Amino acid sequence: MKNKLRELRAAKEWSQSDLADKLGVSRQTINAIETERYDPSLPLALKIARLFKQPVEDIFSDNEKP
Amino acid sequence: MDWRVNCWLLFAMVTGAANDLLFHSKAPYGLLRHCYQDWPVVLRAVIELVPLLASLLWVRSVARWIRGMDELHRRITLEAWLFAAIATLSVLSIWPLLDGAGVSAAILQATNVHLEALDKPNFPLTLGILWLFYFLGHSIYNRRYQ
Repeated sequence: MKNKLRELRAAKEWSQSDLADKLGVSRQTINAIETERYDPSLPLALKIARLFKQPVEDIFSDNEKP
Repeated sequence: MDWRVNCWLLFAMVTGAANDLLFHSKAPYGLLRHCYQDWPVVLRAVIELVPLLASLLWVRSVARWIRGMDELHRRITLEAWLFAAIATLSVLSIWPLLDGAGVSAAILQATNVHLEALDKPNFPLTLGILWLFYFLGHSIYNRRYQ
């Protein structure tokens, strides 16, 4: 699944550790999501969306065409 | 390794090994083997069940440890446990074949240790194999998410 987490984090000038602390996860989790090796759970995706004040589908997208 | 999580595993392995050594091995190791069969069945059952009960307490502490994890680490840990469980079952399944081929006899001869308990899979050996495969699996799956 593709995501814009790295861009959103960079725009806020947060490090991976800063974002991990805000979300209550490890830095490795943030890195794995940003490099698209790991898809977050729905609760974590919603938490990310709330933190960046954006809809989940604006941050995460799959390769499927509507 | 977190000893607060794995202390019951260590206890299970030590008591299981002690049981095998003291009650089931031949001389000079099986110091109590000759009188063990005369003990009441209940006492013998309790002695044999101590490692099992300790390993159940270990499973409980592992479950608590996993529940408290970050979601990625929970996934890595569960994948590693699944790998360890399947790999351990596979090793235990082929153990009689290896034993028949003379592998365990060769190991015993090479190490110059003649414990009957090592001729076949036993409780501490099974836990040791499980633990070994867990660490192998954890390093493999952890690398995937680096």
